[in-house]
Amino acid sequence: MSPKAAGLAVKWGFKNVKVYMDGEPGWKKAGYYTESTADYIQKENIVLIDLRDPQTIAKTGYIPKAVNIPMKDLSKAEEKFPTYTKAPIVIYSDKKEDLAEAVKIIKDFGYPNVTVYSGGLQEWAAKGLEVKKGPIPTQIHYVRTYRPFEVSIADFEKALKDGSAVIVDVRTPEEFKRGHFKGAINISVDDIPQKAHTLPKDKPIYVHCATGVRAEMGYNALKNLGFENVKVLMANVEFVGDKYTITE
Amino acid sequence: MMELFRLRSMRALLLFLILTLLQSALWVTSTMAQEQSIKGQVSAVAVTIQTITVDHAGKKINIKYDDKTVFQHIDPKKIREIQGQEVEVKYVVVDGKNIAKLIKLAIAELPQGVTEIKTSELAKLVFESPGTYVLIDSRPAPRYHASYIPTAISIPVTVMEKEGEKTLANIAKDKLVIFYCGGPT
Repeated sequence: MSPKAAGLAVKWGFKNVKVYMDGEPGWKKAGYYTESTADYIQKENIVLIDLRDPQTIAKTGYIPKAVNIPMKDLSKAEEKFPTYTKAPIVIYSDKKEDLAEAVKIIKDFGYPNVTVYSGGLQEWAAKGLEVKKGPIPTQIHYVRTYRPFEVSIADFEKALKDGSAVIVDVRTPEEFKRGHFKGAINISVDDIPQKAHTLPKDKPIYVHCATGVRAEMGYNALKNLGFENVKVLMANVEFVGDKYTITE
Repeated sequence: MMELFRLRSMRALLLFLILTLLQSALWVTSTMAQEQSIKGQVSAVAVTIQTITVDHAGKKINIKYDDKTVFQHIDPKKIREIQGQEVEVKYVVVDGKNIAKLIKLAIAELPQGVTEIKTSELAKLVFESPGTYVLIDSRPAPRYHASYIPTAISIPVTVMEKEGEKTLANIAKDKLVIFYCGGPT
């Protein structure tokens, strides 16, 4: 995309054109933070963290849906973070110098999708956007949005109990032998082209693996074979003895 | 005499049938083994089953790689890193499975008159000399809103193509203009 854009700029007479080939992923990989826009904060299902002191927030108000975790408490606040580690998290502060450090702390907790709103409340208010007054929440309540092809953990567990869907385990036969859901059908991703025709077509199919990666591949393969009523469990699945755990 | 003739013609017919069958079988295997070539973005990598998913023409296609797969611009040991990148894949279909012969990372050539800027150099500009350059995010707008490099503005390449020169009209022609997107494509 960017080399093409640079080519156009040269064509239009720009004399000093460069391309940053590593792009946004390369910037993050080098350890620098990236930013999100006010538009994104308003529209998307995110966790918004206000890092300022409670006293300051009481005076100025805060950005709607923000949760207060003061910078000085952040490194001890890991248990406040959502169970879903891919949750998008945006932070803001009145001290720009805190932002890089805060991003690093949150990334180290295991949340890679953390960005900053560097303009903070000041820029937000200057845009004429709503500023909330009153007590700010201090607990994060994040309810993850499922994409249309994903089955929620709750619906998946319901199907395990009442058999309302066919559970397809796309892990290898060896993994399946070590532990699996009762009633699950084992067809590894590799075997789907040959064995998919054996699957019942009168019920929805829920595909799972150990993490969600292969499950999505299994979903793709089934879709490409013409299966319509298929969903994926994007979650970590573990079997210990005859017990299982499903975590986000 | 008649009997013998019939036997002979039956034999000939049988031979003919067998040959035709063999031929069609050969034709089927040859079409199945015919190499396909696609370009697209890698949306998933599963090292455990040596499979990548390539988004191509609105479909997500699983393709397996093995010891015989040729990798270009990719370190097979770091295959996870091609996630999100644009690749060209040549593969054959064997027993319903797509087996990669070649996986090549698409590296776009820089147009004439354009040079590359590295992370350290860009970081220096971003943190020390704001205002001396214009940093443009060429990705689709939603990607920009979610996560952009500090000081960048959003002008998707599709908008530049559609609306032409006026998209950069308020930038001086001798200003340093830096473009980036989601990787080396």
